[in-house]
Amino acid sequence: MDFLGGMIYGFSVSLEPSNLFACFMGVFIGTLIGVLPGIGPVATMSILLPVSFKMPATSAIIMMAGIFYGAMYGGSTTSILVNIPGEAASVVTCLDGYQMARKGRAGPALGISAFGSFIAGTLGVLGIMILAPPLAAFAIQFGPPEIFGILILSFTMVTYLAGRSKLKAVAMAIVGLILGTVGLDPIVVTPRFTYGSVTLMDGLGLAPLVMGLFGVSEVFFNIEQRVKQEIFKTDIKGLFPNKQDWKDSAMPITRGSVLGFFLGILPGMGAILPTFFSYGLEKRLSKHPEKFGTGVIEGVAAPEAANNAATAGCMVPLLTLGIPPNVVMAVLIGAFLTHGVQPGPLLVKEHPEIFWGVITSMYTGNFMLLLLNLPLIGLWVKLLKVPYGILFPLILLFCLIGVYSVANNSWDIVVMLAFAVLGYLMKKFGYEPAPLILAFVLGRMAEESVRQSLVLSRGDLLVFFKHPISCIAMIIALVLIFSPLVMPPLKKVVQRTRRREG
Amino acid sequence: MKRYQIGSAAFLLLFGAVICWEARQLDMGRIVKPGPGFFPFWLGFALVIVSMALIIQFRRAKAEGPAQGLWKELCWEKILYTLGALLLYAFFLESLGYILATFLLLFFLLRVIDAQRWWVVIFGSVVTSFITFALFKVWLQVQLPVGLWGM
Repeated sequence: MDFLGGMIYGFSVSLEPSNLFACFMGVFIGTLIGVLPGIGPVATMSILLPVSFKMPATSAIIMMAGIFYGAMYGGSTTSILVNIPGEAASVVTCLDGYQMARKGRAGPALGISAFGSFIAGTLGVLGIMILAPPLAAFAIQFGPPEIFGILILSFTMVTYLAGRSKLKAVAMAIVGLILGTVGLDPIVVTPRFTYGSVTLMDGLGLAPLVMGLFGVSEVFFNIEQRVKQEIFKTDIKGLFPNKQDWKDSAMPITRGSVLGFFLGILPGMGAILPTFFSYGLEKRLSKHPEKFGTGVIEGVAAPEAANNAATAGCMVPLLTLGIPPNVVMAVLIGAFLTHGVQPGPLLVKEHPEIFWGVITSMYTGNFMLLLLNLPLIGLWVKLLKVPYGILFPLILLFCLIGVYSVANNSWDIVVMLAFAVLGYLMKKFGYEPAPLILAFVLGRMAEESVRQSLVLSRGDLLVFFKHPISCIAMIIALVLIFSPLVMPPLKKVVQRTRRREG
Repeated sequence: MKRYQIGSAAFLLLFGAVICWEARQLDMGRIVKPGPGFFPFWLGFALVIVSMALIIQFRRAKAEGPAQGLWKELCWEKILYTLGALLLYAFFLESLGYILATFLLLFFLLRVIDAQRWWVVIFGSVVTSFITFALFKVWLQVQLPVGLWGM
């Protein structure tokens, strides 16, 4: 199917009433949880995983994807109005967005972030349409060594880009891989680490793990501190940015979209890091960098565009390689797998209705979000006034319903609570849960590919360097791993020579 | 802080060692044809190495500020109560049925963990239990356990 044919076919799928409704539900829930602090797209998507069993695969994935990019819209609202990022990807938006609100320009700030997101989302969808089919065609030739090479590169990127401690991130990735081995061995079907439990034979569920680590532990973390929510009282009038605003933000939105999309493709980037890069880029390119942080519209437009484009970008490796580049995509892969659909190079051939339907739904979804967010902004603001004391029992209840209904098994609740305690402690000690989940999801694939590679090459450990694609991936990974050892001395040398010259 | 950090790494070290030990009980296979124990064993081994590196890193790090507990000035006992309530919910959900169990849980969370006004507590827990039941069980056809009177 060519590009245009695919697009038309895609719209014929995504504009079906049931899919349109799924898309609406997705972006609506996404905006809602984006506005509400304390629950993010990862936990929400796993709560809805069992609900999506009942839906057709295409609708389920359309809804799940809608939650993700919908949350990006909702998150910016709280950043601008309350200086609390509803979503981690809108942290940067606080810097200038909140300052704009304090200057009485909350309206244009909200407006530009919605329009910027829309433009970026649209460009991002175009990007997927252009990039994904040829990439999928290329990836069809990948064998186990190539897959293992790319997985190693992904793990390396994820830990390399991890916040505070890279070593801790590595440890978490290994723990995730270990947790992924619980259950039946993928090749010879021997039970591992099951200790006679029938429940564990199927392996640990993604839903209890994710809801424990991201949903319930977040609640634990929040209820122990007394947070006072303060809402900045401002009249939101004139959501439409004026001519000057548009002139100032046209280029930042374009640059933010392109940057966000391509960064989003990379493993470990997610939607959060691109916002920082894009903000930094605008500050550097700006004629008045000193004004950043005082409420300039570029500081809102660029990162908001970047996080939306990134949500589109990270669909690319999922749809073409079957490798989720971040945690949200890892949960989305769960939705694919529960419907017996394996995302990867064959997806576009075997399930064109999902491939093109989901991509085009992102376009319709972005349009719905624009309609949802601009006129209804007052409603979302009101929602912010719900105190956490009322919110957290609801979040817990949704996690309970979600995790129980996966298999109608109360033990899953206990598993979730165990991971909630673990997640809470991890947060206290500064270990990030994201590498753990990603490794958990990719663990099976990693093990299969390494074992198959070894069998195919008759035990040659260098097999990963003998295939060109895996070799390139491995070399980049090695460079990244050893760069912290090499870079600081290099920097010192450079500084010394500079000093000598100066 | 430093002591806690080393403790967390020591826990990971122990976990890695246990995994290695347990993986040894499985068939390791040979390098030509790795068995079920192969992957877990090397993962456990890698975790041991990484956590040793973490311990060294923590020991070298300068103590950050005064030694302060991680739970000082926080109401961490709320977490214990909440956790207890959720565990009880897990154990009694199927015998009490969804609506009753949920009502009790919400009542406890709204009143005890975060003292809301009484009408909020009662109204909130009753209405939420019924609405979520209707939403998930009736509309979305999610399997929720029923107790007395089919609720």
